[in-house]
Amino acid sequence: MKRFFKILAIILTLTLFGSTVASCGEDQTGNKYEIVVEPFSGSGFGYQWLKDLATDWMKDNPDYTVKVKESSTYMAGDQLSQIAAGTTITDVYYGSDPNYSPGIYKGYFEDLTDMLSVKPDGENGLTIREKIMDFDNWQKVASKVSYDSATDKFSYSGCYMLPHSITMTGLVYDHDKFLELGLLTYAPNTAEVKGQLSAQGITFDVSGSSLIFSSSTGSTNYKSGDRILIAGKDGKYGTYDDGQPQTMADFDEMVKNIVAMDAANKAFVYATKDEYVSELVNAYVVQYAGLDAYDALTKYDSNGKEITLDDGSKVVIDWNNGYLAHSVKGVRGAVEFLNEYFYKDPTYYTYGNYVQNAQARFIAGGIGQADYVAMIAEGNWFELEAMETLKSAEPFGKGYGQVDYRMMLLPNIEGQKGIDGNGHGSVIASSEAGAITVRKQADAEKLAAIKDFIAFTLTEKALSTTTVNTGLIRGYKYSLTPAQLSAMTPFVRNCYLAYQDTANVKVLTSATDLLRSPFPYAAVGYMADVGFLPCKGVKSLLNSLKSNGDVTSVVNGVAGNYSQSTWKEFLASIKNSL
Amino acid sequence: MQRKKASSHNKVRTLFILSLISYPLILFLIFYVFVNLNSIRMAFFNVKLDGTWEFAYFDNFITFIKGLTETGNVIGMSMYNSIRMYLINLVICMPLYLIFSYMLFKQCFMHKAIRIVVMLPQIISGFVICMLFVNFISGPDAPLSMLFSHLKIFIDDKSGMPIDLLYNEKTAFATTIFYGIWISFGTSLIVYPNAMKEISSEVIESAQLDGVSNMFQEMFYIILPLIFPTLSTFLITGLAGIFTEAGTILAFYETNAPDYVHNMGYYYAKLVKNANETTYPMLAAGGLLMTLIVAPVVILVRHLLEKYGPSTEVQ
Amino acid sequence: MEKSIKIKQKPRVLDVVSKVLIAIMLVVLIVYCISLLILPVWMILTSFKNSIEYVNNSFGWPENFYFLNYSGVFEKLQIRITDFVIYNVFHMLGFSTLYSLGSSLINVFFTTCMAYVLSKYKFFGSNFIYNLGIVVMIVPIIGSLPSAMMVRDALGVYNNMFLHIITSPSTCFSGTNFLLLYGAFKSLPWDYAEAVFIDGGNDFTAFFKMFLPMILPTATVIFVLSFLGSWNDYQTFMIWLPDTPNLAYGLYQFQGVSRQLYKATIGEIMAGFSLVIIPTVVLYSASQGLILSKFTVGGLKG
Repeated sequence: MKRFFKILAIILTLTLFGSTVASCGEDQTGNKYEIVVEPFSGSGFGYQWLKDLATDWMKDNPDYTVKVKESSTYMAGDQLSQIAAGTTITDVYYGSDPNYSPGIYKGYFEDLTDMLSVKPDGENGLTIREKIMDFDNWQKVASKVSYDSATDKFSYSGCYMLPHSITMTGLVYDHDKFLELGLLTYAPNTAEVKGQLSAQGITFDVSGSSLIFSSSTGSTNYKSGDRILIAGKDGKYGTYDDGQPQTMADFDEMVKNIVAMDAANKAFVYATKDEYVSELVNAYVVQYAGLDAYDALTKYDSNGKEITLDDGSKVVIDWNNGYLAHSVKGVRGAVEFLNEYFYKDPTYYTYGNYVQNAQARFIAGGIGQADYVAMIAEGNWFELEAMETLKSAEPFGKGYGQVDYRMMLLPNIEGQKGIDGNGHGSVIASSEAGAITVRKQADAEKLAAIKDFIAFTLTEKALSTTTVNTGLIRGYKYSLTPAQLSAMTPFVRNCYLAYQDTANVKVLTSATDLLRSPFPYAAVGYMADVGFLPCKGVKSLLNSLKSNGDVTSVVNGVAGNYSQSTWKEFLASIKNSL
Repeated sequence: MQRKKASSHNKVRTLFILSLISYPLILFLIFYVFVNLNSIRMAFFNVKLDGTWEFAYFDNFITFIKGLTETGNVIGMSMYNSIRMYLINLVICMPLYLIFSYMLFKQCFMHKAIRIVVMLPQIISGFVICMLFVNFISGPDAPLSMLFSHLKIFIDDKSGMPIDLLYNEKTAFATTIFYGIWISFGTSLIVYPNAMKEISSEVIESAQLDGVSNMFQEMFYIILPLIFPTLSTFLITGLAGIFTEAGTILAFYETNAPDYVHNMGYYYAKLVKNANETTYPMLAAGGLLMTLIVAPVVILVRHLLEKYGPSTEVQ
Repeated sequence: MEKSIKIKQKPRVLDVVSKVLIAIMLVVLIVYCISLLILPVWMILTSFKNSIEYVNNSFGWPENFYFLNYSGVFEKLQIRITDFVIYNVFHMLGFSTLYSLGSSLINVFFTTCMAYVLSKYKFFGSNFIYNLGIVVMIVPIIGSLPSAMMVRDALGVYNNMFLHIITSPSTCFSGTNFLLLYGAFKSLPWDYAEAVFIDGGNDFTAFFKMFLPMILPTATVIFVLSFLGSWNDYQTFMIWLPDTPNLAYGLYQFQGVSRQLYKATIGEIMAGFSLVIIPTVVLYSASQGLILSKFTVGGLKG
């Protein structure tokens, strides 16, 4: 007993100490001339870019202080509850996810419609509306939906969010290592190729069957003496996708080559907890089934066009039969792809619990005794997030920015609709896409300042420097100067170039696109966090495959996500709650 | 004089009683009674996105019942799993608790050390143990996976990799149940032996004279009747918590649990965390329904246990 | 236990079976205990490994003891609260102690009061309250979380640790702790109080001077168990007190969010776990004897 009280006394002392320390926290209250900005710092991109922009803006606006919260890892949902509870003083959110919609209906946010006509770069520049990648699409995401029971019609109004960030997820590989291992395809010495090279202003030497780069009038990523690879999907030489497999058969051959070289080699590594592998499946489905099918899957509306279902039937999807979208033809192929390379045969892959472990395996692969791992399922934040591991790989020449990492585009799938409906192009899924919102302001003057600040962060210069400094891709049209491009790490540059190549690559921002319909936030029982291709009961396709073991049951699981009667209730509850 | 004294004494007594119990009772009225009444009210309304409420008659109840009866729906599955969880715990844990407790009560080999070790999950945070467990068994780097592939057991015949116990349809539910049982011995192995200790040695001695010679007899004739109140308390509180107990599923899977491991407690926790607010009234309605079902069952079971259980005269 | 037990004949077979069963169960019990030790041992071993070593050697003895994990915890285990307030390990330690002590003390105190009053005094409603306690304990109220959130928010209890603590004994006349104390008071004869009255004391003195000291060991057991519970409680903080994180909630964040934010490695997370359990292990070892002897649960008689 005595001993017990002694310990109690120690704990009491600690309490006193603890509470004194704890009470030192600052107490902040809203201030007219202080703008509090909250970027998401949980991913690799950080907050420094916004701090830099704030410092620049304050030079011209000395009355105001912009404070940037430095380590917010809150998702929109948490931020909404903080607003509801009155425990936040944030004025502007630069969120990593766009799920602010419930707050829009509660009146937490300012309507930013008037900002759309602002020209951040001055009179000659584009308006914000023009800068947004696909404004008509975005407007649906950012507006309030209302329902008129008399006419049974839904209407959209306002614009409460602006796009913020876009990420890209795919298979990342080390380009130089691939060259060394002969895994990429070289351009053949044919008249056609030579003609294309000349047309692109590239001079080259011919050495037997190979073409050797010597110089170019335009920009390429070749150095003099490099053997020229086949052009990728963009049909251009010396770009981010040169030499990559063009068809699924090429891809399969490459994978088999990798594992054939050494029994210990693995083609892929992925993290089981952070499932970027499922983003590959998402991309696969859309690349195969086309963008109308994507709209059917994300806004439950196929734009009046027919989509083909797994059983071969064709159907137009609208809000009354949205549940059918998950039966779209293409899911089976995608699950087979998943099964083939990421589940069925462990000679192809290895995995780590957490993304850090997967990164460690990928980066360390080939160093010392570690088994070589050719590709990792990751995102365009990969280098930033793996910074610690990259640091320890520096002595081996594989440090931060030292390696020409590239993202592998999904090869052409037989029978694919592609991104243009005619079978061309690749799809990259974005696991995150964020939005900017402004909390309701009492003071008109401060609101004007806030809008000015946001516009400032959307200038050509602001958008481009952010990308250069952090690799964060903003959801707007902007371009980088050659100098800026060369200041980036090869990987970030490659990702950015793929993103900008809109004719050949479509980046799917499903997180925002799902908000084009009110289902995610207004239908009773709809699970808002499942993405657009969940499997009933298990959600994750990979886990579903692991527990069922066969493709058909996963395909059925996806198709059976919502029953007709559930969907009917969704629609009824939407009408009720709007 | 005496009456005055008595009345002043009564006043002090009333003051004493009031001063000790009024504060908790006021709290009870606010945080229990009012909260629950409000929840009941909620069950009859629709909450619109702008926060306004609209009377919805029995719509929310109907939605919940539909979910419960539709085949393959997660609500029905959750309820099924909750019941399974309770029954499995009852059938497996109770006998084990009793046998182990009996052994500790009889001061078996290393009984002191055992009583300390079994409390480890309580001493070390339940959350920490849970995270350790997940990291230990799930995923390719997990020591258990390595062990499996080394011993060539629990190998998925499709992929040839060791199976992930938490993400395999055949093993996931069993794993969560196993974990629940595995960490649960601590308290039981204190409470039951303590209850047994209260049995006087005379009773046991006289029973031995009557021919009680082995564990089964001792357990059946002496120990069970005497610790029956403790036992029935656990039975009843367990039954009462049948649809609120989430077990460790939330910590294991966060909000990504496969449907086949869902139970009611988890389903609620997940939806309150993840789903949109317009779903809350449906949850409130479902809660009310389940309360209406479980409460009479619990009261009946308690009544039956009291009536037909072994007679107990222990204070 | 008046009735005598008559066993017709000595069933020899059962004796043997019983002995064998006990032997088997003893082995099972010991294996079980060893299995409980594996995780903490693994935790401590892993806390000394860096992430590369963990990939290659997830269970074995660390080749090089990597102490940086521990300093990493102090560096990386921090939570940003709304508005520029960042709490580090020491702040969280403060909140943990404050909350565990505060809520345990106030709960044990009011539970003791309730148990005493209900077990020793008959007054209008006393039976009702006792039965209400049983009803609250056995009648599940399911799905009232959203409603509780609304009420707590309206009263300002949400996110306010002080108010949260002082409003916590709202069902202190229910639950196993109450029953334990109730049973303990019942077993103490009222004669003690009579003696106090004869000496000129009143009900207050009887309770505070006579019964409270006698019940102290039992109350202490409840206090310690409740302290352990609240020390390790992260869900309360996640739902009700997110702005005053305790260590358990900090660790919850550490292994989740901070894996991304601060790139915490598995070694650092395990180091964090190892550190956070020290206080509870110390407290438990100190009060272990008391807990082992005093923790009992009686029946639900109403």
